[in-house]
Amino acid sequence: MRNISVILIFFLAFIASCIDPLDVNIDREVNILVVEGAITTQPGPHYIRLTISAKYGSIFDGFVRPIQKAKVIIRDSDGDNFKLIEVEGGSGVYATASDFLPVVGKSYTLLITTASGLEYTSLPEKINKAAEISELNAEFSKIPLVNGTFQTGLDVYASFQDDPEDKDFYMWKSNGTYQTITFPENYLARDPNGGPAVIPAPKDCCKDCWVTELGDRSIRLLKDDNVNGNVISDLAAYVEDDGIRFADKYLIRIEQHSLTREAFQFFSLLRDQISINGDIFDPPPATLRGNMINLTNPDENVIGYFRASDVSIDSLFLTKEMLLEPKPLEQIDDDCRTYNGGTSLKPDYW
Amino acid sequence: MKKLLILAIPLFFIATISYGQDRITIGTPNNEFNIHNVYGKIIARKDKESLPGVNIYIESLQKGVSTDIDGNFMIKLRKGAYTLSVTFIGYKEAKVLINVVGDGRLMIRLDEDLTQLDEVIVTGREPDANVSSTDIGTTSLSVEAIKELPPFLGEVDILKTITLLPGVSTVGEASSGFNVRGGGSDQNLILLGGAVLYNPNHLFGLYSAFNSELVDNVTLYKGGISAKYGGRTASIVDINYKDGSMTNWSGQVSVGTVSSKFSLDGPIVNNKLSIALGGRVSYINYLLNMINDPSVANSEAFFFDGNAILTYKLNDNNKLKYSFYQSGDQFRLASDTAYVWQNQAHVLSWTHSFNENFAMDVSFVRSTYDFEIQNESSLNSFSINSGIEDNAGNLDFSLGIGEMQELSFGVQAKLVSINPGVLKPNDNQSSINPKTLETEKAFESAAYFQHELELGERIALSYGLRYNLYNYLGPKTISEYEQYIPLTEESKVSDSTYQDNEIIQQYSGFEPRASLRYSFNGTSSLKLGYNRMYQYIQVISNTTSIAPTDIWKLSDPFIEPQVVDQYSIGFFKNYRDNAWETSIEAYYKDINNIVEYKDGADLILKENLETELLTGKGRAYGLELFIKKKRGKLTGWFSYTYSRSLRLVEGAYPITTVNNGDWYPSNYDKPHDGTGVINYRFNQLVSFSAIFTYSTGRAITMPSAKFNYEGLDVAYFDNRNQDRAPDYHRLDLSLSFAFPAKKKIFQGEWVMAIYNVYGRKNAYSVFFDDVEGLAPQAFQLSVLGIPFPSFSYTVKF
Repeated sequence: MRNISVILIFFLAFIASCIDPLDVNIDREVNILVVEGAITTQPGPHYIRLTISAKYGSIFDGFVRPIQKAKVIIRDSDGDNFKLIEVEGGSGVYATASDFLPVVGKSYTLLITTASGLEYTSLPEKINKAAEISELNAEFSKIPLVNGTFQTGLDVYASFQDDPEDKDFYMWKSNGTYQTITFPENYLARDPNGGPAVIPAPKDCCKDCWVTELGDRSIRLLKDDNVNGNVISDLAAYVEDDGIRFADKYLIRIEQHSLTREAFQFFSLLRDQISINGDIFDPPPATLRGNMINLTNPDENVIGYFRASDVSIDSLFLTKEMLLEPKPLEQIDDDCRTYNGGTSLKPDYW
Repeated sequence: MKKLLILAIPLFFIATISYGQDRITIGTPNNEFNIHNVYGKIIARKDKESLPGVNIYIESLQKGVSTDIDGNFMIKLRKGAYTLSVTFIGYKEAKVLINVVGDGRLMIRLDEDLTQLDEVIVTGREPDANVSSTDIGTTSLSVEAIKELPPFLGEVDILKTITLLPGVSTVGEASSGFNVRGGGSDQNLILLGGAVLYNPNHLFGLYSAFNSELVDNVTLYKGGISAKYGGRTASIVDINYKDGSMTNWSGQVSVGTVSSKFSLDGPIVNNKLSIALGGRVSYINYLLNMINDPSVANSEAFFFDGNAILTYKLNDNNKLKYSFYQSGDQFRLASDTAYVWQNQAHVLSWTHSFNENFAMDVSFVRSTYDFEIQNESSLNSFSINSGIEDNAGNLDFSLGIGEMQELSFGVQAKLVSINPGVLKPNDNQSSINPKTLETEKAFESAAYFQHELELGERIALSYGLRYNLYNYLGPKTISEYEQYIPLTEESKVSDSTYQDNEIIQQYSGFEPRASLRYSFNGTSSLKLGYNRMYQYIQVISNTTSIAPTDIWKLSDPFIEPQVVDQYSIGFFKNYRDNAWETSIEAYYKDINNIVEYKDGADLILKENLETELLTGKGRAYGLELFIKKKRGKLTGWFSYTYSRSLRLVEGAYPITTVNNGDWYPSNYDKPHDGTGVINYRFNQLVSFSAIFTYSTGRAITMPSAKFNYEGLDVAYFDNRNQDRAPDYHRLDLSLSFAFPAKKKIFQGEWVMAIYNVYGRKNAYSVFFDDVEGLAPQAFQLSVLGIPFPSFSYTVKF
């Protein structure tokens, strides 16, 4: 349904609508705990990130601070406790032990005690079984943009058999790996006296790299209300053809996560809030409530959701041939390792 | 009366005009020249104002001139006797007999024609009706008056004009509907020729869904509403069709930049049967296709509407009338999703006069509204249909008791059924399962009386009572929930099934109405009003403004009817023989059982909709000032409203509470709202008009914090509507030229208009977004943020 909004923006563009930054002065500031993270049935470690919300405004206005030195524990429905260790670097990230392996059917609770002694707990989060992905396939997509050009790429669909017994909720996450082919021999160095990079300075290495990236930012969710018990095929990822990704081929890995109803509700509300873009189909601003409770002050809201999911994974090589209208390749005249954290180690599956 | 002065050049001739007068001799005999210049000046007898644009026509020569801006004219005539026909809108026609013997001057004084003026400005009401009637919170406008104003985006638009009146506001350009005295747009009962119009909009609210050419007049009731009307709590907008002429055919064709329309009316059988037809079609589609932008050129935006009205006069005491209305919209923009909606209405009425004082009106009304979302994506294509069917029968009587009293009474019944949604896969490949939500059905009936009486010279009273009875009917499955916890799908305990027409829930109530007038003298009065209104059907919307995807919901065991009590007081005074109307009105409203929804509610194709809904209270109060000039070259009005519209949703749990259980402004709370409307008629051919409107920005919600999630900075909201969008203001101008036609076969009129002259970028919405490459910040979307010109040409025949 969300593409309605895009459409309407286009229409409104026609009747002379426009979007402008608006200078507003917000004098409120609420500083509350934000919990982000999930545990899954995949091998760990799994991470939980704790931060504090900040004043809305420019980047200088409010800084989202991490919460350090908290005591973070996950308790399962058998009563066993698993301690999380703060990851070095002070980013407020806490990791489970790498041998901590959640299992389908058990419930998990996140317990947090901050350095200042505030206590938080999640509601028990049960891991439901995630259906196995039976097939992945890709379809060329071409989206017109307002400036008259097109954005092209591949939509990746995951097919699976939905369980007719239960109400099921799904979320897709993805990541991908692709090869970059660059021209280090054409590298131009910058004039030491300033000015543009014009001085030829060929590099010996490296020409072939592999970049691994997270999937696009969209939150992809499905509930089986209208498709219960069917073989479902739904959009799980989108890979944009940016003129670099499809130098050779692209490996897309799709993770299909099971969700509880409460997790689905939280993430669909988060998705709606993120997708607000000013059109008439926009949902009104809503208060995000997750499954975390402040035990010290139960009236205070805690943002975020502690999620526990079963995951099934499948992967697919996307090929240049799938792009019906491939973009011309962009030439990068540099060591390929300088582009997007590429590595010159060829993965063994390539 | 007959005072003639005949003087030689350069003396002034003053001719006083009355019927059957003597012939005026112009000039001193001069044999040298055969052709003479006759100069003249035309003024209004009453205020001595010179009258521009007056037509002076000489039948025998088929020759005519018009006066200039100072009321002067000149015509060259051979020696001889002539009859000048002097006509001007709002004045009695004068026949002036002259005998030209040389160059000369004359002055003609015209008498105002009050009856004619009133036809132009206000239809069917006495010039002092605002002061002398018991009506409070009521405004009538004739379509002729509405046509004088700048068109909205190239169209004469009745509903948009209503938003210029005090106490009426709108959320923005592309938002359908309007808000009356702090009520939601679903609280307005819009009656087109007696039929309920569920979606009064084309193109998501940019245009009204009906053609103004077939409308005679419109009355807005926002307070002191007669017991005859019920079913909505904020206002009644009663739009009356015109009858086709029983004697001669006439029509018009209008070609504009956005749409074209026609109307035609005349007798099928002279003095027995008349017909009026109208149609309008937009060609935005062609405009869209011309734009060199793939996203726009692949789009579709189309609307049409048509009306037919048949009037059959059996005899002096019996009249039958049938009207038909159909509208359609199709909207698709560079995507695989199309929106299609249509309204249809049939009204059959029989008016019978038992005698001079006692009349009966029987009517049968059927109106339907259908809405469809069609998704034609390659995968999982689907369509969702929803609709409303409303069948009603009314029996109304009106009885005049002497000069001083009038009694009206009647019974009304309607059967409403709502199809909340049918989901269908479009082809075999779609993995969508078909789904049909249960139809809702209700039978709503009412009996009422309203008694108007004069108590002596100074006091008049109008009071009435309406009793309504509402039955929510099967077939339907109703769920029961655990007590003492919020209604959710999980707290559902069991289902009960009800048979067809079995009563699931019954509601009833008395709706007292009263208004009282005290006249200080003939030109000023004080009025008091009270009314209680019930509403059994509400719109549930979780979009910021009103979209056609909104869901109509009948009152059921979980959603009680909305009940509004309104108290109002007003002071009315007219000046200069009713040329100026002024009023000041204040009101206070208590609103019960407003439907709200939970944060993040999922409303589309939702079974057990009650689990997503909350009920709250509302209150609204305001002060409205209105000054209107009804006659003269310059007419128009100024209105100012101060109003507040507040809501309270206080549930037992955080998820059933909005804004932490405190009062908050409604989405359409706009405390200050002022509008100025002027129309200046240079002469009978050229007129200029302007609208300026200003209001406080609507209430919006701003974030209390930001937080980082999934790699994005996301706004966190913990209250509702505590902030304001930037102020709204806009100026519209229009100029119209009529082509004089000697014979009234073809009279043409050009209208040139500019909407939003100085290109104010009014905020349609304010939102907060984390755009790549920018800091998370506030943005505003403005619709029509540049001047929007339009042209239309109308030919009458």
